[in-house]
Amino acid sequence: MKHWTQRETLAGGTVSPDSVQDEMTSAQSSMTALDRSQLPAACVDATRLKDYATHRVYSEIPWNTTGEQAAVVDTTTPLNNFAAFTYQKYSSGWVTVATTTLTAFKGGHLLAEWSGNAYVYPASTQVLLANVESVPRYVRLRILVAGRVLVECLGPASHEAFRVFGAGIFEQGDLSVEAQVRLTDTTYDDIVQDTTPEPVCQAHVYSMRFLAIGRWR
Amino acid sequence: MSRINRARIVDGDQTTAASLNDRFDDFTQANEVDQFNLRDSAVDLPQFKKSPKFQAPFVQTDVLGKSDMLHAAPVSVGATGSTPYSSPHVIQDGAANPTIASYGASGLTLSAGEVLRIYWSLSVRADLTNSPWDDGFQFNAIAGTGGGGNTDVSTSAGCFVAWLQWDVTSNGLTNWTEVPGQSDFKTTLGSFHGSSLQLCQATTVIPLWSYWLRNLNNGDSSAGTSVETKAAGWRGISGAWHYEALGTPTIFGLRVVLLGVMHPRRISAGAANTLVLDVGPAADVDLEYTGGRLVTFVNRMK
Repeated sequence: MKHWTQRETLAGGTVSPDSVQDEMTSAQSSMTALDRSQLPAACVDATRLKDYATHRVYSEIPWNTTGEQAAVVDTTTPLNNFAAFTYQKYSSGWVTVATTTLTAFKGGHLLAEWSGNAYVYPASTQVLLANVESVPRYVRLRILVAGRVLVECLGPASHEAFRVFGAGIFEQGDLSVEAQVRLTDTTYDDIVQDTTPEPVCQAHVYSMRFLAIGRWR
Repeated sequence: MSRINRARIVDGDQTTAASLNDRFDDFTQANEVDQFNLRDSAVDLPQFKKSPKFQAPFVQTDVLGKSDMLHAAPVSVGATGSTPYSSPHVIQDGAANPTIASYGASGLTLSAGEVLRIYWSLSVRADLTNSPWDDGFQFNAIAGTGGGGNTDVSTSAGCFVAWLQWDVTSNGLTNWTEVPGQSDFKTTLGSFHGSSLQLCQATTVIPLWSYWLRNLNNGDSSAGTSVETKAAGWRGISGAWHYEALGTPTIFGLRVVLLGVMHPRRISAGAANTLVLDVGPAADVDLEYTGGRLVTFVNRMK
């Protein structure tokens, strides 16, 4: 704790340079270096802070215009299928299905969550030539922030909702965010079309929403 | 700038009233406590007011459904057998009492610059009889060269949907409407009723079954294959929705409703993806549920 007073002036005492100097220095030191121990508790509320002083919430709903992935869309599927991923259109690998930018992220802790619904066609789960009991079909999901993986998961294996969230420490700046999906790769034995023949939808992601909270205090 | 910067007093200086007053005036100038005079850590958690909370000014947890961890007597919801449906099933406690989030007589008023965050969960299970995967338009014909010929292979896309409704009219809680960005699945789409996927922003899809072919060979649905099916067993489902306040809406209540069996459908080639009610499997499908939670957050955006 800093001293506010160095000496007590007494009647009849002598004035030396230090007697004034020490007092001034002490007061100046306290005044020019106020810290948490010298500020009153509970003195800061929203009205005393500039916008984004402590945190910032980023929101995208729907995410990606309609909330549907539009990266791989096959419009020739049967009418009772989604116009979405087919193995005729999707080859392999991670596909970016939604993006956003965390503008003016000040550097610090980031929590990001991506939620929505996903569909996977499971009919080809136990194929003959895979030489294994089963090849479960998933829509794998991951979030990239500034090009780095924040969170990755196996993802849905049927027609169901998902919520993927992760947290990390990130540098300041305008951070790019990418939501990516990856299907289980096809095998020689998969069902890829019906009798028409029309390509069968293998997967879709929709109702996408994104929320992120950056905290820098 | 209010940083105090004055030369030291040294031996030989004259002590005058003016020089002393100047030094004391240094501490009385306007705005002397500014960013230069606060250390980097001057403001920390003890300095933040706890009430009213300003980062997360509101948090509330409510019970959804029926508390029944052992699933001894779950609540059962039958699939809808006519389209358009009349009203969705409201999550209840098993004694016909709706379980909702209620925000009191004065409601929960959102301010500009705030975001409402809703998270909910529920324990559910598909209760199936016969072969619902063969009903309605739940399947596609897949070529087969074996004894069975072509086979109707289920898409496994049949599902229940759960979505959020709120009451922004009064604490009487009799004016439930869909939350923004969410449809009531009653839109006429050709000969069906449902919703575009764009208006499913507060929708949680609940799976009902998986259908696959054992020893599937080169995409052939009948040569040496056998059909395998599995109803979706007990599982935790969840929903997440958020809403940036436009204006200052007051919310008096919020609830989760259910409807099924839904299935993907486009009314024509090139038309938008939708989810519509398929009444075909209605007699063979129930959805059972027990308990869960609904959590309401309000966060300041900045």
